[in-house]
Amino acid sequence: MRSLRALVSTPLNRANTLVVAVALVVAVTFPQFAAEPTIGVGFVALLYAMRNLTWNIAGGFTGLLSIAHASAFGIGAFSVAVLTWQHGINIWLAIGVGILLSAAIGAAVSLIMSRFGVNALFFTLGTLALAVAISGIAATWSVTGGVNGLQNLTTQEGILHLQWFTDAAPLYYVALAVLVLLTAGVSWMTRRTRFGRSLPFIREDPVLAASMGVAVIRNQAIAMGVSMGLTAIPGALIAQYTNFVSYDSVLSVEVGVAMLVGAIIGGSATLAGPIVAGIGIAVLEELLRMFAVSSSNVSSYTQIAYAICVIAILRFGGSGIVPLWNRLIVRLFGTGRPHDPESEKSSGRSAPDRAPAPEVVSEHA
Amino acid sequence: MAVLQIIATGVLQGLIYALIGLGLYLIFNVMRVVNFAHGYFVLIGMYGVLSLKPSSLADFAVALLFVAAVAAAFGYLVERFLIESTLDKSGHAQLVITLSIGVALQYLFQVLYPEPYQTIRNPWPIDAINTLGVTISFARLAAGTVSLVLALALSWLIYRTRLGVYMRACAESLNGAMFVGVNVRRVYRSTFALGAAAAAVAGGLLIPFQPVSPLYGLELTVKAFIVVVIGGSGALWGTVTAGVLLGVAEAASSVYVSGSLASSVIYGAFLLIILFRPQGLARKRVART
Repeated sequence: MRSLRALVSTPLNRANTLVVAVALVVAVTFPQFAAEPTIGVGFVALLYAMRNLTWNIAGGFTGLLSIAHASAFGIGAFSVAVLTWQHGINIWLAIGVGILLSAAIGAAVSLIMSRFGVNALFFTLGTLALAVAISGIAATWSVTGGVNGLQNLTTQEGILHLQWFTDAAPLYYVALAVLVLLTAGVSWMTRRTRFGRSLPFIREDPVLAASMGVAVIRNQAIAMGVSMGLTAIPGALIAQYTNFVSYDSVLSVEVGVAMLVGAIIGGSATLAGPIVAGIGIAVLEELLRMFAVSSSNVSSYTQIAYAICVIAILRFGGSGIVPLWNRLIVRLFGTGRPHDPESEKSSGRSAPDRAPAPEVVSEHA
Repeated sequence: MAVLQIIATGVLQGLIYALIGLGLYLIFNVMRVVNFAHGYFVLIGMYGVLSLKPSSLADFAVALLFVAAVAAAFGYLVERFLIESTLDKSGHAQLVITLSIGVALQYLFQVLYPEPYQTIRNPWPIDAINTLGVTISFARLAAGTVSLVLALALSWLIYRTRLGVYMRACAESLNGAMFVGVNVRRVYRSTFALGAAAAAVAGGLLIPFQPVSPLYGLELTVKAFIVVVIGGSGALWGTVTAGVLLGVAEAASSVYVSGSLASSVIYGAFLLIILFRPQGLARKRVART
């Protein structure tokens, strides 16, 4: 009951509860009134939101700006392509394999980097190099189809095979369900578990966190593992949607960059930021596709407009869309706590920012 | 013979990488900004010279000066209006801004030059040199030589001029530089402009023998980072050596390993070097506080 009352306790919480409720209703009813190709756009928007959200576990909460998530996305797609399309293994099993493989790579990368005391910049560069290296391997290895990629030639449909060839709506609902589950899970993890609460602490000051008894290296490795493992899920879903996978389409560095940029413009320290940015980017892409006259340059103009939006948000908007929105609501309607000047500052920020550091202290007691 | 050929090609290519890397080295060390748009500054030089279509050596030289000026102006504006206000924030903002500038430039070139892999006619008087069984295109030889000369010129600028002293002061200790009255903003703007100009000139030197495509920018950015990271922050010679090493490694792996796997080998090696020698070849003698 207390948590329910908290949803409407301040103007900011009331506004955000309303937005989330409306968004959920729209998302659930969307396939009923949208045309068939638009459902596909909705599906892509959910995928963008999902992969930004999973990237954010490592990148936003823990501060590990990783490009290697492109590999996790690609591994998710390729494990479906190789195991299910080529060898007829059940898709749910294949997704599981993809998740475990990506998680193992993520944890290993983090552990190796920590072992050698790599700093934040080299972490980004090292994961960038890893992503390029893995993409190069996929481009030459015959199992992953080399430069030609792999095509889905299976014919079975239904939830057991996670495939509907003529209808985009079921896959859309699967993506929506996964996104809601992931959001709830990440929210629970960052607020209710010691591990989740230690992540912002590690991001802000790893040395202080370690001296307070937080297992910095272990928690970073777990965060990278969870984050990369879950990033395999949107990869598997996009493979089932496009029915074609190549090193170029799912393993390219641009996928990793898109996750990083998406999460950061949304507000990388927040739960909702990456989701908002992912959906916003998909909508922006679609709008530009509608307005652009010649079709050959559409994606180029999209990317240019996208880059300019990103630069504008970062140059003038501070730390992302969601923090900006929260500040706007607080300015318009007040904090709801007029006698406490201290809350003026803190409620302008988002929930994970306020994760109380003192409770983390007991981590290793 | 094959070994000689590999070394000759690799060293010359490596000298160009060194020039590109030096531009990034300056920006990275003086301003501590991670410039992910650096490879796209090289593309400005490549596409700039491409669209000027120089037919003689004199034209080519003018074109090089022109792209250097354009890139310097562009770099100055980027630093002045986009980077400067984010310098006191955390590193994320600069990283994403420069990444986005790179993306915008890449797709801008895609729209402006839809035909991929264009190049220009060789502006140098000789086509190729053939000695000891080694064949080297003269454009490559000249590009390597000019890059080396420019690297020496940059080194002179950094160690022998007033601007260089200011730059090194900012790199050593930002607070110290401020206390003794260095105009840090102006130094930063000059550094960024200089780094962009070095990249663009390298691009102009590359274009006679390296067909250009918009995707090449990211690859060059990564290579420039490899050069800077392997070179270390201690001295310029580290960066130049790292550039030559990268060039030779690339030439060798393109002969002995097939296609896309060649770049995987390079990036894998880079990953190992980051892990085992994160301080790079040239270490700083004085610890930074």
